[in-house]
Amino acid sequence: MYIKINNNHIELIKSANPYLIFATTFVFIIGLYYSLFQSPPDYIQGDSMRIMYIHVPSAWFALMTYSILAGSCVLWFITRNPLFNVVARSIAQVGMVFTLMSLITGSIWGKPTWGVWWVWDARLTSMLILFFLYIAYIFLWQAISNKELASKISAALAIIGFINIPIIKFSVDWWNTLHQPASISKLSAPTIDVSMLIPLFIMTAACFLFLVTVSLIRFRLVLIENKILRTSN
Amino acid sequence: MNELLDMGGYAFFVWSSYGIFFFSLVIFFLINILNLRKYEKIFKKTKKKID
Repeated sequence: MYIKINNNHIELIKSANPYLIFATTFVFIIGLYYSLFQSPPDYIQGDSMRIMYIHVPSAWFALMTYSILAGSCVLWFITRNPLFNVVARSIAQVGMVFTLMSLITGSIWGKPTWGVWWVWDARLTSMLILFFLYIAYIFLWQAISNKELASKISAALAIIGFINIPIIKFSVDWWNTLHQPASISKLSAPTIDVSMLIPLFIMTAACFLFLVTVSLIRFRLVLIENKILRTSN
Repeated sequence: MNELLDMGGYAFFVWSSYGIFFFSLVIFFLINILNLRKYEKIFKKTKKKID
């Protein structure tokens, strides 16, 4: 399995870019309308619950992006196809931004809900570890000048760090935490009302479009960086 | 309008969250777009030099 990217693929990604930017902006505007105007305030948390519409998608995509990152690193180790390395490097920063957003919005939401900005409970701490894993992956690649070695070390770190993903997911079930358990799961009906589910799914779609748009921009950026590295060597 | 701005007394928390979130996403997007353009120019220059 050796997938190669040629100029036609790059042109296709390039031509999709304006449409993706338009779609992302459009879905975010609809999402904002539903989140701030259409959705009712929560019975207990009041309007502070509206932070959920940006906090939850950020957390979901922080985890999803890291899973893709670790998966790409595994595939790179198996096939040594540089494409997987490019994919991992393209999405790492996007994942880092979503993790940071999840931590910041979660902290701001925590103050009116729990009375504190931060607690060292299992969910919050494991999320912070995920943020440091992203930073470590990005900086390791940049810090090591031998790029073959940099790829090996950063990929190994990303794969080892994947152990943190199930810890984040199940931390609210395994330990006593301030953080509430999942409200939406595959196995049972959601515990959120439809009036709140709609804005949540629209904002999730907008965040997904943002992830795809910026990842494709970064994909082109990483490819050019590699080309410059090759031509200057 | 005032009701919307007040957010039931949670204005600071809600608006700061949304503000930080969208500001960060826009800045991150712009950084990447500008970096892409910068690197495309650098690549064209190095290619010209080699040719």
